[in-house]
Amino acid sequence: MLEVNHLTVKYGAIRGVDDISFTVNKGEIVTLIGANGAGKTSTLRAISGLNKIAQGSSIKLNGEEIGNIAPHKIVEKGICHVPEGRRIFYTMSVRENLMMGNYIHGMSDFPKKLERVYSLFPRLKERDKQLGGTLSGGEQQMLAIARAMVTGGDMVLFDEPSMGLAPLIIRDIFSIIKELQCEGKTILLIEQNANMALSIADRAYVLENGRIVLSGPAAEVKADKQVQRSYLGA
Amino acid sequence: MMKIKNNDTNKTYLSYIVVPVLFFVLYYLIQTKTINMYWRNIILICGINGVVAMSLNLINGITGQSCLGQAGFMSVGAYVSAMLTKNVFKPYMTDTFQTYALFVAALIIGGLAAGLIGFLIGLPSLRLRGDYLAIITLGFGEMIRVMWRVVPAAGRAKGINSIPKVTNFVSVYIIVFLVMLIFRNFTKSSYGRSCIAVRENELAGETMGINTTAAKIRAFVFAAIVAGIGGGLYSHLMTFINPDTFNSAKSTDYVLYLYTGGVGSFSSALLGAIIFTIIPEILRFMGEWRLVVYPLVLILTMIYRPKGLFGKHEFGFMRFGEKENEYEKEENAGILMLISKAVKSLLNGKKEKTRKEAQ
Repeated sequence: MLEVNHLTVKYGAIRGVDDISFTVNKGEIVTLIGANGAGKTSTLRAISGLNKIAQGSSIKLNGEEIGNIAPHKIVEKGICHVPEGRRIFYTMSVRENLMMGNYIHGMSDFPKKLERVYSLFPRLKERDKQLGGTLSGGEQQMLAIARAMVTGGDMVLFDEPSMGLAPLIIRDIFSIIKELQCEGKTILLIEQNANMALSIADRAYVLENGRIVLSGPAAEVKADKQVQRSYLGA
Repeated sequence: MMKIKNNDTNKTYLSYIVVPVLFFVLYYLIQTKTINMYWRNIILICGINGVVAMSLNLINGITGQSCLGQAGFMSVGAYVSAMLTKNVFKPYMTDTFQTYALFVAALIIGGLAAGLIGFLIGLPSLRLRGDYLAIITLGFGEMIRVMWRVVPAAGRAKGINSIPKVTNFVSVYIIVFLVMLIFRNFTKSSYGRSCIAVRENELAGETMGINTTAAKIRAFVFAAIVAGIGGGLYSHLMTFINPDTFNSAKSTDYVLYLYTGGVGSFSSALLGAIIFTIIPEILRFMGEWRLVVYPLVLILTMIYRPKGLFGKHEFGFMRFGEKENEYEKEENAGILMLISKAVKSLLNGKKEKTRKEAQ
């Protein structure tokens, strides 16, 4: 579904992402793991058009080149990005936040989507009118995910959904990601919490200094000695 | 974006009644000369300042950009409409109807001209934000002012005089009302929502498919049009304008009205403009000291009300009559809530005092 070839992202002279290639097939959960500064977020931002890509890079969605089009057009093509650090609208209520998620679709189908999202996240329903900024971290992350679900699109990019959350809430959030996969969405997940990410992913890529150093089915990557030492704390 | 109906909140229609009542009361007072010409002009200037402050709120409050050149946009509207009425429309302004039809036409053309300039200034705002954008807009504002100094048709440094005096209470009141109405609907529309998304979190907006660049330009153009209309009203009230009328101090005035009133709310911008236009007039009895006291009032306002006097609170009319829920009330921090809080804390303080005394 998503095909990334020779992707390079430059920050001045520094190559944040250095010539990486990977694919995400339809219906899969693929995870990119790596330490801080390995280039995970840069990769994701490049896919959703937020970072400029260097020459020679190519990002294809269903065979169509999307490497150099504006972020808002990429959303219309069906890639939805849940950005790092939640990025919800602090002075808007929960419902308004979700309404913003439906921006590109107009309002006709919103009530139906709202109902569905609220059935998945009853916590958000309780806080319907509360302002986004007054929610707890976990609730904000739920709101960010819910908002992305309202936006729709066949492919969802998650950027560290577990950042700063308690283990119990992380489990909830990962089970929702798994649920999204069951609904037929394709997911590209970035995580610091490698253990959790590898346990739900189908395939994994390990990034180091902007390069892919290891790839394969999640179970194999999890079993790798080097990965265990570096990321799983074994 | 259509509005989702909230059936659980009953609507308030108070401000829908206040608008016509206030109009007729003021109109009656002006007609019967209870309000003299001096105060009538101040009321009109309040309204005009309110229009421009509200237009600034669209850029600074709703879209979260910073613009320090609002007087520049205003001057474009003022000059273009004044040149039109004075040089082109004057022979045709024979009866009341024609006079006002042509006046409105001149205002609109002046507004559109300002909108064009707003578009040009909006373009650099694609790349810049915060202080840098503020400096650019400041520069643009000054550039426009200096431009009038060299254009012969604008009378160079002499300015334009004997502009037909057609701005009156009715026209200002109606325009203030229309501007509020348009801004209200704009804010609730998908365009307005995209502007708010830019303010709240540009990146999140982009990931939701909002064209943030277009939203910013739209805000600049729209604000410039409204400021231009305000400028047109101003020139036809003063009957005399020159480039120095619209210097950067005037731009600063609008920023001041907006931030002391409450940035992010059109009603607060209007009220801020009204209050801080009137205060210097009330303080006139102290002569030169007024220039000391007035800034002091501003400083105290900013210290004790950093969100502005009225916060982000909007009139009921601007909320489509919908009541604010408790969370919004807390966030908006209207002055009424402040007063009720103060009264409560005063009561609690008394209780504690009596408790202490009892001990």
